[in-house]
Amino acid sequence: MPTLEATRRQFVRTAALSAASAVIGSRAAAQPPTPPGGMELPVLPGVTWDKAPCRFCGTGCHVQVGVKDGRVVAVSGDRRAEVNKGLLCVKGYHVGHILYGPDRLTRPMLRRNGRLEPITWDEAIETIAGRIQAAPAKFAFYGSGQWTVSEGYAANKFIKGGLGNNHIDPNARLCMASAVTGYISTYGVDEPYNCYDDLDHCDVLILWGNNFAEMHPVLFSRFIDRKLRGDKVTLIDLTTRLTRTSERADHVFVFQPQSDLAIANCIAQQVIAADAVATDFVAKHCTFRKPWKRPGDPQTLMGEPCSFDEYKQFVAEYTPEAVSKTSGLSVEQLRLLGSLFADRSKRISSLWCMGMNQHTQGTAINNLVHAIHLLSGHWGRPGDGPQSLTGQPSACGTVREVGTLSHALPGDLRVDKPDQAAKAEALWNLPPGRINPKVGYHTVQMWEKFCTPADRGGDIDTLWVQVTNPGQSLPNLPKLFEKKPADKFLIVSDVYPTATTELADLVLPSAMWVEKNGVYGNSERRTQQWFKMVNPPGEARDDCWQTIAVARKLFDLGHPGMKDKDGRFLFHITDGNGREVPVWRWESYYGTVNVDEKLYEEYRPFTQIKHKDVAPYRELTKARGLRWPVVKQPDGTWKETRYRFLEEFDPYVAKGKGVQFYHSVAGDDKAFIWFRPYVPPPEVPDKEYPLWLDTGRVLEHWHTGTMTRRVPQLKRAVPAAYVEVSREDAAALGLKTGDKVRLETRRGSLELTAWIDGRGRCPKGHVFVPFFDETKPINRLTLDAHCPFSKEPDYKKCAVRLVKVSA
Amino acid sequence: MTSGLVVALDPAGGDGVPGAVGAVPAFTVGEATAGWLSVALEAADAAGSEWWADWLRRLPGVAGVEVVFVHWDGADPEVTRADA
Ligand code: SF4
Repeated sequence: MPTLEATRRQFVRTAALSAASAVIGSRAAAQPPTPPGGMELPVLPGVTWDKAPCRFCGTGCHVQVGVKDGRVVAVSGDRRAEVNKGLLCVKGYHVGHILYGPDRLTRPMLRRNGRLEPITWDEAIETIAGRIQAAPAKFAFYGSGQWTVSEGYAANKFIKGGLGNNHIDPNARLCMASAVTGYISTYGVDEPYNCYDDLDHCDVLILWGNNFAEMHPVLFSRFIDRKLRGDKVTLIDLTTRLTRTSERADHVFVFQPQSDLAIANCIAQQVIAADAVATDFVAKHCTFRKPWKRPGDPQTLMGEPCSFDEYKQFVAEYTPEAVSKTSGLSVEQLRLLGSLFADRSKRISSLWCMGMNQHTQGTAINNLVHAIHLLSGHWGRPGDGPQSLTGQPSACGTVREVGTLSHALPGDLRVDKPDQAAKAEALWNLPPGRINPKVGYHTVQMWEKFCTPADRGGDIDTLWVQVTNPGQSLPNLPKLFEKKPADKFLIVSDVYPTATTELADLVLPSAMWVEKNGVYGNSERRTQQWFKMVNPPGEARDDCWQTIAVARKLFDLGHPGMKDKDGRFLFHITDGNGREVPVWRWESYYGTVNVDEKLYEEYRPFTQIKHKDVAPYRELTKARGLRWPVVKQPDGTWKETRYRFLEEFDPYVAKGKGVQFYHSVAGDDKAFIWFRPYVPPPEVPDKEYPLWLDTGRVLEHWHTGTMTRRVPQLKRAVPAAYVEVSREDAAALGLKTGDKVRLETRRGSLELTAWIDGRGRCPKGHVFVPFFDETKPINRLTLDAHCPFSKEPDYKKCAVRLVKVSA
Repeated sequence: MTSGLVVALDPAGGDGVPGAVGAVPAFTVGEATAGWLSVALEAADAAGSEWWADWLRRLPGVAGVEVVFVHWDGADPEVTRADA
């Protein structure tokens, strides 16, 4: 007779096998099936399951989280989720582990005499409120694309509706701000019109500087599956170094840093030369744009109108022969790209992420990739269009939609447009004029002001960081982080000690992921909700509660900004009987009301202003995310939108229009086809610093590694940062794998282990370093030069030299 | 630690994979459909699980391994300090 233990193990084994079989059943079937036995979850004694999005990248996979006795004990890919269809990557597989590190922060701590000492929450909240009350204009909030929607919304309302200084910006400034300015200056409104379904329909997938296999692995599998099934699909990897993505690509085109601008213009030149412009589409739906009045003037974000003939003249010089010299691609490779765009029988999907966004010409290259798709008519059919991806789970939901950038308000509104600010004031029930029309500090400015002494113009003296680790992720750390003057006050809410808590004056322990209620918005406009499933450790509390508690303390201290125009608290939350719930007290926060739902529903009307209607919270509780605009149907159901601006899919397109860019910049329902010239990078290799330095991520580690470096399996897989060196450069320097080398830039130096022909392979003259390792902070060396429009810094290229230290 | 895995078989040469995997006691092999094989993997701890998953990834005829399920069998997941 089997023992109880044997039976239990058999149970779990059967559950594991049936989960895998069910995923295969779903994948193999032509129609989305219900696997045998339905979509039921593995039956495990004592385990309850609930859905949540994975928090480790912008893909937005859904997992089912198994909880037993108040702890997460199992994770299963969610088969009902359209994004991942039950699959998870190696990070998602470990997402349940990250709650249980032995050094979780569990008590508020204040630095006294150089040491962090435990204090009470009351003391912590009083300390923050006291600093803000003393100098509200000198306070700034630095947040994240990992903030939940309500966390970001509360922080945004607190700053822009309450304090009125607009100094709030998220870490997403560092990863996707150029995509935002690219969309806005092309279509008049932010965020992709398309969705991941393009991966199922394209004939050609072009990755623009995007290591898709490692950064969005589940989406990459979704595409590669088609190849395995025998679909005739072509993968083109446009890259500056060989990666795991290159291994699966049909064509690998290695280009010189910054020359993506020239390559895009070269494609446009060839489309025109081949007489392959989508004349009807362009005439009906597009106008041309140049970046200045006259060549040589400074470029502007919204540019000037130009004619097709002018545009044609501008791109004329970008012939394959000329661009071959700038880009390092062969004329044949450039011709292949040109001929693909000139052929409308094939559907082309372009994807990008940090490679195009972290760029001093980030807005320009975003404009140009949209331009070649619009010009050639590779736009609008499923599988045929350009789409940016995000690196964080709610860079879209919380940063772009909630508007936590320093110029923005929820719903794509701006602080510096009086009519738009008035709309926000009305929705927030604020007195007219409460919102300050002056744009706040963007990330680089904010940290520069914080790290500059007050008597030299450093007018930020208290900075609160939530859900991010700028002490490792900011560029040029010696300038933007390490110089923090002793009299400035840094507050950090986090779950683990980090490079940022090292310098913090006040550390607040936060709840994470399924320790709290939350809503995220992924890269394809999909809003995703989850419920709290387990308690946070010790005294850790939700970031959103922390913000509300400080706001309430300021209200009690008489700060006028913490009141609406009727004198009520800025976060006036009521129960079903209309009675105010004191959610600023932790014991009431998870009491009679769901604060997450209340704030989300307060925010939702903002999203309707620019036709980005997110779904009602109650609908989200039932779905694995819904892509906005989500519109109520006559039968009372809610329908998501796969493709915007297309009449077939988008209910906001006027009948008979076919395609309508209803938020176009010029108000004519037309998108802009931009010309932007090739502009050299701000720092190029020279005699002193002869190599290019590129930085980025690896599959196993989530950004700065504060969570994934605590999971032994992930840490063992990639234990430490390294420098990838080409064979040629290694030979010239007498280096072999394992040798210690010192990297030196004009900003700093760092010792690393050399890896020749490792996981990635750099071409001659280039090196690559991942940024996940707190002990080897490569951002001490990177450049803080940024795109003039998006203000996103360029982490992908600066000049470096290598010095061999030891064998 | 028990995991549910989806193994993508190499179209040219994946035929031997179910047999090779089935011969290892840590694995229970499920069905092979349209180029994929479902597998349950049981190991004493996370390190063993990782070792076998890695072995599977390197097995000739395997084009990829994806994870769909993980259960920690009542033990706390093994997580350390980042500097451990
Ligand atoms: S691809 Fe991203 S969202 Fe999906 S499981 Fe991996 S880390 Fe999580």
